[in-house]
Amino acid sequence: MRDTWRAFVTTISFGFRAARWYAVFQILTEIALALTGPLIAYSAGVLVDAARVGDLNLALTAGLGIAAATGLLVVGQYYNAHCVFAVLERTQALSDRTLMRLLGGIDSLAPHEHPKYLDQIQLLREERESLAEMTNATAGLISAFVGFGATALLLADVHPALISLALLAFISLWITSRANDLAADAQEDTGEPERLRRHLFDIGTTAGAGKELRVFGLTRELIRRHHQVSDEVLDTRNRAAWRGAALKSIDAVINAAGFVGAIALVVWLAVEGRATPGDVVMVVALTIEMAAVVASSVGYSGDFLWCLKQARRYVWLERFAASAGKRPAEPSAPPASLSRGIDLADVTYRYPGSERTVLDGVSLHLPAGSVVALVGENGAGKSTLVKLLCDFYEPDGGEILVDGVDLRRIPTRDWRTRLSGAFQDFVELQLAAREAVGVADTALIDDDTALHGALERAGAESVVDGLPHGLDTQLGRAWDGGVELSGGQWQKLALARGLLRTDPLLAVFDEPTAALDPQTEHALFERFAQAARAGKSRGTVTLLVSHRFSTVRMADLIVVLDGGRVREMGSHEELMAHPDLYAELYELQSSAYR
Amino acid sequence: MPNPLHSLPPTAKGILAVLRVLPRVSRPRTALLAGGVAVSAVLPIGIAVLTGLLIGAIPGAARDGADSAAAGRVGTLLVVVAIAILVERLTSPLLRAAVSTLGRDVDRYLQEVVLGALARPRGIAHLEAPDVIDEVRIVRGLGMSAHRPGQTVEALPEVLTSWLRAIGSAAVLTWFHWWLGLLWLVVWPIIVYRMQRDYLRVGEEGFGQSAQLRQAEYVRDLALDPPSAKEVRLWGILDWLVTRFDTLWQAGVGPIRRARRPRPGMVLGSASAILVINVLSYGLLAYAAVQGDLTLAALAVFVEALANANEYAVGDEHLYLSHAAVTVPKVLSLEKRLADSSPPESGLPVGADVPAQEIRYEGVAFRYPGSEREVLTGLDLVIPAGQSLAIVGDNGAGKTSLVKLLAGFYEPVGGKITVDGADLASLDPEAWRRRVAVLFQDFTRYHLPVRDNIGLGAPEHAGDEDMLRRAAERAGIGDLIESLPNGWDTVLSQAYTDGVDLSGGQWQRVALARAMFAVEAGAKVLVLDEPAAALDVRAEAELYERFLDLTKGLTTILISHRFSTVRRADRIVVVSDGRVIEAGGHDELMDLDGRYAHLFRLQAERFQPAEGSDA
Repeated sequence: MRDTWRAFVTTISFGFRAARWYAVFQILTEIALALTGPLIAYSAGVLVDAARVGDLNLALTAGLGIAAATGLLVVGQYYNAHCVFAVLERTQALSDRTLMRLLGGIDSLAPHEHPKYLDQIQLLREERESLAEMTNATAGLISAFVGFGATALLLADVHPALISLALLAFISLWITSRANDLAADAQEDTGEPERLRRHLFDIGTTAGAGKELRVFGLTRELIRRHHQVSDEVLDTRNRAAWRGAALKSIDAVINAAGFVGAIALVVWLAVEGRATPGDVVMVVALTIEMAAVVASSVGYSGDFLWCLKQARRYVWLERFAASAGKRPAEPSAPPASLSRGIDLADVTYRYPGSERTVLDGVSLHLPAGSVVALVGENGAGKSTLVKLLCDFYEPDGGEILVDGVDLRRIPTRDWRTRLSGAFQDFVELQLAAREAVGVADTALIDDDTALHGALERAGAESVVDGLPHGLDTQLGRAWDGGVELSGGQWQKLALARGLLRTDPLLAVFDEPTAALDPQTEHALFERFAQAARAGKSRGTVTLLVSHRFSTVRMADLIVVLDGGRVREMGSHEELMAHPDLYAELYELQSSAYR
Repeated sequence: MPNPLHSLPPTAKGILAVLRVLPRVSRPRTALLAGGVAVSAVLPIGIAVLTGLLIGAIPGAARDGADSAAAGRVGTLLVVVAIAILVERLTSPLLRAAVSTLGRDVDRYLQEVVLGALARPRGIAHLEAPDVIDEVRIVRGLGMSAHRPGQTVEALPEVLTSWLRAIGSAAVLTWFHWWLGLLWLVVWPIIVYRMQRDYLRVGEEGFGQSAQLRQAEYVRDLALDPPSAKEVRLWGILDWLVTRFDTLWQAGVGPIRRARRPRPGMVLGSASAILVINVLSYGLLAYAAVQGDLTLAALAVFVEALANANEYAVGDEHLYLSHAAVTVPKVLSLEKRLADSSPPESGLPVGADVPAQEIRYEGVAFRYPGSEREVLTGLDLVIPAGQSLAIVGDNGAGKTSLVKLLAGFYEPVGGKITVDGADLASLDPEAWRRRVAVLFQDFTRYHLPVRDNIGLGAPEHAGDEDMLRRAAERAGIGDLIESLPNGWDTVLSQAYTDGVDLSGGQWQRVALARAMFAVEAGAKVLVLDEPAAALDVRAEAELYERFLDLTKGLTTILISHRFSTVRRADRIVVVSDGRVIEAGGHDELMDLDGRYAHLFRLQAERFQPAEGSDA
């Protein structure tokens, strides 16, 4: 219950934080609009009765009252619609921004490997609009209740028994919420096929996949599959809609009976002389009004419950995010420079939810100022080790020591300001070229000298030279005036990013050159060595993961991982002198060049 | 011949466009919608008239007592009203179910119109055109604005019913004073038209901002999506992304909000018009009734009719409608627009053994649409059938572009490509592509079972188990597949129950198996673009040991930076600045001692015992 309340408060406050006055005005106009229906019905009754008794003043007043209410209604609707959309838009932006901060603010990557987390995120992102709609649903509910109350009061005024019409509304509410449940269940049940449908749609509409579709003659097959899987989604969801309609028609019969009963009652009262014809006019109008009010309150309460469901998911995520970060008891700033280096002591790691130990008691010394190469076959644990060093995960056992200080004590964000690197799965940042490089140190985005320095170090000057507006060129052909790069060119920019920071304590390069041409790679590693020598005073450790032994061999220290353990360690010459896995792989690769 | 529909107001055109889609989606439900709208529009008018008569009969019944004829008339009218109310109530859930299901189906229909339209052109340039991408975003249904076209269908009964009811009720008023009814019938459409036109402006503004908002969404997703998670954290750019998102979003949504803000002139104008005509109507009604010119029944009928006539076009349904009025016609015309800009699809048939002689590039020049830089500048190249050709060169030298031209994704801007002497442009593109299998550098990862990930190499043979197994073996992933939790039926994505994610290297071999499946199905040209990029040492060694076997009997084009594989090709060409600068066998090129030899030595040397090149 407390959770639900918190979920409600959190999401409704989105609306008020994002667009306070619009939200207030939306609720006020909606209440006013909800009152116009009963008011007009009441006035119509007065008009008829006044006419019957020949009271011209009263009849004109009632008539003009209706006319004025109608005019105001239109004005109110205009501004109300504007407010509704303004609140929705702004709230959506705010909830997007909040989600960015929340998810992006989780320093660890471990949640990304966590199936439960992934499911929740997926659902939350698909339904993120619901977070924005809480204000709307609440405003709708409030106004529906006001309209309901006013209508019920006027009915009760004619005859107390008519209040039972209001009771019928609760049956409607109950039946319709059952129908809504059917729809919600159908939506959840079709989550996976809908995900697949979107995936197929994306494949059918993006250029990269478009190439394969054409070469393999898949375009028709894709449309067939899209149709098939959306059939699955639509069948389930549409069937739920029809079953809901069947339920609602039971409600319709009950309601019709109620309304007819109410009219019959007031007609009987009128025939008996205990009610006026004006009362009949009003009751008829009020029954219609009641039906509309009940329908909208049922609709809004469905929306409200749905929003609440997403809101609880959001609150869960908030808690999860709060517990995900590390909070060192005695925080320690990263050292200005490394004197000893980085040590791994008996480090063990296993991905959450997995049974396989990826790193199993790894102990290593990465000396300050050295270039260390990490080799091993796919699945040996190289990338995991790199991620542990970047503090993307915390070791399950053992510790990582930075000049003797446990990495757990160094706040993640402080540590990351002293890291640099590039990865095989780098991001193609479709921004301006200067941003695609400059994000590595946002203070330098407008510093052309620094950017060109990084480009030069990465051998990527030629990439930018070929762009129509140089550093200011928008990258990515999907954007107006955007320029597309080749796979290798994107990779060079990623490397330039990795070489922008000039004072890292640790630089990791995790297979960053897979798509690069040999001379670039050659030149690049010469520079790594140079940079390492230049950084010796700072003690920068350069860690390189590569399958290219021509490069690996020039490292000061080579670490061979096998099945999550350190199998061998030493310089190229040392490792070649004692033939084991390294020598075998080296032979395997070098034989191709003989 | 001028189409009379062209002179309709845009909203009406948009509504008509949506209406025309409906029967294509489902005739029975369209009929249900039409019937439902008619019933919901007419019945309330009928009920209003009937209750009016009912009320008119009350004084007589009150006077004559419960057993009188007048009381019997009240009873009869009550029964008729009861039936009308019951029918009206029952129509509503049916109508709602019909439109909510129709709305979903319309969304799907439009999605498939887009898929079909995008699938039509033989090239891929249109998939990279920003304006096309912006339109795709609308039907994808995941954009920042929640305006799905399907929502319009859901708004239809609401809007159409209230309009029909308003017009019908205005007509009823002609019984009171013919000129008053006529006045309503003239003034009402003008007000509604002006209101709709105003909303249409909002819809158009919203559509125009699609590109801006797409950019905001891109930045947002960088912070949310797993692929960029590592770098976003490493560089600590979350704040930067949030600021960027805010700026882009403000820039995108600002004009929409400004367009939507009610213009006081418009609001006052329509409100006063409504006020004036209502004051006039109610005033006349009150006066006539008090004067005794109107019976009680007539007064009750006209009061109800006036209430029903006051339905206009403000509120969210009308906004949805205006959005659809802008977007649906655009989406529907996408197919035609794309078909106009792409060449006819037919062409010369392609024999099963093509290419039997050679593929030839003659002075081929190429630049990407919208770009000024020539990627290929008069490239000459002969690829003899049944041989393997390796292409090497710097990043951005045009290697991949060369392949894209061969697959017919783009047309050369100069020169031509011929296959066994026939111009590639004259061949039937589908038939030609059946002869070609490609492993792209950016291959697609289908969230489908392994079976389909491989079988999609040649969908017409997808059920052939033997062929699947052979392709998997040739790509060296037979064992991997057997080791998956559900074997061949394992879905390759963690986003699905029992799905599994593969490593980069494993994915690359699945994509290779897909290409080999196409070869099994009859492709004669095999293109491998950086096939070893994600492979480890052993897998790479395996690949080049297997290279000759893989490419036996095929015309193979290999793009790679790894000379260990390149050297196994029958012929090697070096591409630089968009043209071929060297060509020959490995030994030949080494003897030539040119660029290739230099590049090869650069790699090979680093495997020689150290000669003072100590880092």
